[in-house]
Amino acid sequence: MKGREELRPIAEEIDYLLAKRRQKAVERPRLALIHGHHRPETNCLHGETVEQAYLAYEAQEIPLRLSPTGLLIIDCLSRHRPTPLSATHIERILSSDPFYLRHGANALGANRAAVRPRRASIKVYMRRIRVQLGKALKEVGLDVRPEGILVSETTDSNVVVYGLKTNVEVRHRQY
Amino acid sequence: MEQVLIIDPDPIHATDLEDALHPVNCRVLVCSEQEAALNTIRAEHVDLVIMVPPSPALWRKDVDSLCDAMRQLEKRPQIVCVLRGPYKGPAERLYGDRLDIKVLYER
Repeated sequence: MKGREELRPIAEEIDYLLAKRRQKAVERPRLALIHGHHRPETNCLHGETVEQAYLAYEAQEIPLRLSPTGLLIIDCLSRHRPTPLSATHIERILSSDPFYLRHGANALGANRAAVRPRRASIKVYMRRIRVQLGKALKEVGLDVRPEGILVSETTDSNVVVYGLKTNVEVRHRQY
Repeated sequence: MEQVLIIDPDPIHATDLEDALHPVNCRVLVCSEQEAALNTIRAEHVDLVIMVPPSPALWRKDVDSLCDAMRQLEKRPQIVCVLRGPYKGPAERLYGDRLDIKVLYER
């Protein structure tokens, strides 16, 4: 017969695993956006690029495999947090905000074509972003639905609005 | 309070394990066989399952069938497999990693 003392290491491991589970339930994943071609002493000015988006959780960072348009949409949602945006609103911002109009202008050559997705395709991009978020959430071992991070709600006039319900960190690099 | 379910065919060992878990702030349930354990898991919210296979040699079969049954659950509890017997190298823990279960050794 084993005594309590002999089984203590197992009990301690169980205690740790339960605590870890509690921590996972409370801790939310974050998004990290990388802006490239940053000019010193400026902050998110036009001319920069949106290079990459990561889902960050604890020490892990999983890149979201998004197209340039997907990256701009997720950047747009993060800039306007916590305001939810409709597809029409996002379309308008992407076609009028200098950050998106002059996207990548700081880069050498600067021949990046402006990205101007239409309202209908923005909805498709939302689905694609959620697919990527879902894959990344699975990779970090979180039981969180992507719809809980990129949320969509319906307004009183039946318009769907989108928003990011997570913390976003923007990092800059000069290349 | 979190709930821990012990699946252990050895009632004396199950009681020892239950006693050892006293300092841990959780409610402990005990089942001697897998079928009854699955019914408990479906009926109650179980956060963690401690499985003590009757034979360390056949533990993979037992754990495979438990994992298969759990796949249908919306919220899967964490599974911990306690192997009673000599350490046989990292292969057992690696097998557990593949199934997302924690393998512990009782020395």
